[in-house]
Amino acid sequence: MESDSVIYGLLGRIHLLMRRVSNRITDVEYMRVNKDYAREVVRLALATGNPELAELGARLRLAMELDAPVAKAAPAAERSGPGLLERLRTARPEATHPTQRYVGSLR
Amino acid sequence: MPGSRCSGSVRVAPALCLGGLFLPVAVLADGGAVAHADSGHTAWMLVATALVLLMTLPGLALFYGGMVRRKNVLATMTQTIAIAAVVTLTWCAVGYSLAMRPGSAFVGGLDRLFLDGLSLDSLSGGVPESVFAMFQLSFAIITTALVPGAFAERMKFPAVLLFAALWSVLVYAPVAHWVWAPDGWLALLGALDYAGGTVVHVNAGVAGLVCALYVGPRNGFGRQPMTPYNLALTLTGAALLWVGWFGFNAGSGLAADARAGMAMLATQLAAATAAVAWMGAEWLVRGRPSALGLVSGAVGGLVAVTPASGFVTPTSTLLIGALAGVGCYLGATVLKRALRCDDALDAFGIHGIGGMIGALLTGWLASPAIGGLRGDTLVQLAGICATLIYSGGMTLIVLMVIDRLVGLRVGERTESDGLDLSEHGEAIA
Repeated sequence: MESDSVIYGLLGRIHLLMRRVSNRITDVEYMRVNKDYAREVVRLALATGNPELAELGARLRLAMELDAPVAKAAPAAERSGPGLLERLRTARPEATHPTQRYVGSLR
Repeated sequence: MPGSRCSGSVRVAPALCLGGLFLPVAVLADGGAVAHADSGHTAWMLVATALVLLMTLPGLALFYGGMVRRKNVLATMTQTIAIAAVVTLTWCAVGYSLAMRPGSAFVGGLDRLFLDGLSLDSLSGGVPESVFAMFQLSFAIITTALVPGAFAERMKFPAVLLFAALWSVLVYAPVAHWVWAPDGWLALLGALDYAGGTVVHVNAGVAGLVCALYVGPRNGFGRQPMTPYNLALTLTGAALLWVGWFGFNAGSGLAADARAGMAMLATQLAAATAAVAWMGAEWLVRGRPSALGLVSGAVGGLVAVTPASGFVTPTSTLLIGALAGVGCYLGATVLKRALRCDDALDAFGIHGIGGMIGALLTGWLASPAIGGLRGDTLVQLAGICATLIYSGGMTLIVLMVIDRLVGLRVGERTESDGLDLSEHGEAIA
């Protein structure tokens, strides 16, 4: 994975172009920490048809390793499933994120 | 037991003390002299009534008003205040008579239509019947006013007014009669509900859930953030609810006595325990405790201790608070997502779930040393199920009728502009 400064440089340019080209606001900080969100933004960037966004999206895929395969399944001994706490945490990981906090639920 | 005050040589109605409530009783005392209200009890009940009304005006109005989006704050608070006015009229016209007067096992009689016959001499236990009717009215008001939390930000104002009028008479009054009137079938079965866990909270919670499902989600629900206008208003409202709840629970024995003190203590203990429990659960799951979570936990604890407050020991209250705090947290988060229902302000998640937890635990934890009665969890469960079925079914019918008459839901444009401007022609700065 590339360094933070390279990644933030790409994210910043994508953010500006997305706003300019499709009037869509993205969250740079959240893209940096959430690969699912970053993948979705890249998908939207490609969908705009803008060549510069397409190039930046491709570079971001490499820089953040967005195409890396999903982690292998846990060994049999650990395959009993996550605990209740872990399931609660992963049920709504964006619950405390400023832009996602009040989507679908107040509490 | 406060029932000892019910003695008299002439009784116009049975004087069974159950769940801490009385029907109107003796007018003449032994020897033929006119019985007078106990001034101490009456003074406390006047204060308790004002406290319960304070829970709605302005407690609930602020609590709900702070949680909706900026464009719907006035409309939401207006709904609460309008409901208080409408339910006052329906209660006077027919609600009080249907809920609290002797009748059948399912509904009261019609001898107090428009409060006819209620005079200075009418007594209810140790207090004037006027105070009793007013105290019970404050319960009818807050129960009805809780429901719009589920359909906030999307219902037409005329529909809200009609809903309040019909629901308070057709749903609230019969359920109150089942549980609190001595001839009510749940009372005869032995169901315990000191201050309204089933009558108020399960009833309002399930009605809210049905409303949310029938009316449908707000536009953009689940896709767009719906940021609350000002949670400081909500915190202020929650504080008023907390303090007002002392009148709600400690007043439900209609007496200023040791049991009222125990109910007040139970109320405070449960609220505090549940607030800490919700905060702890949220901290553990989300990594930080929220202000809204803290007060939601307190309200959840208050809800759950409502049916139990005059029946359980302080130690049991701590357990009720802890379970209610975690249970309501899961109800307003995990269960809400599972139901995929836009219960906007979590009327079901907190009042429905908290009410059910409290009602069941009352059956398990009721101590004869406090309330003179043992509970039965199966009877409590029967009370919950009956309320779920009746309240859910009747609420659906009421909604269908209103939908035919005036329509329930505002148009897409109106919803987008906000109810403040489109429904009331006003806006906050």
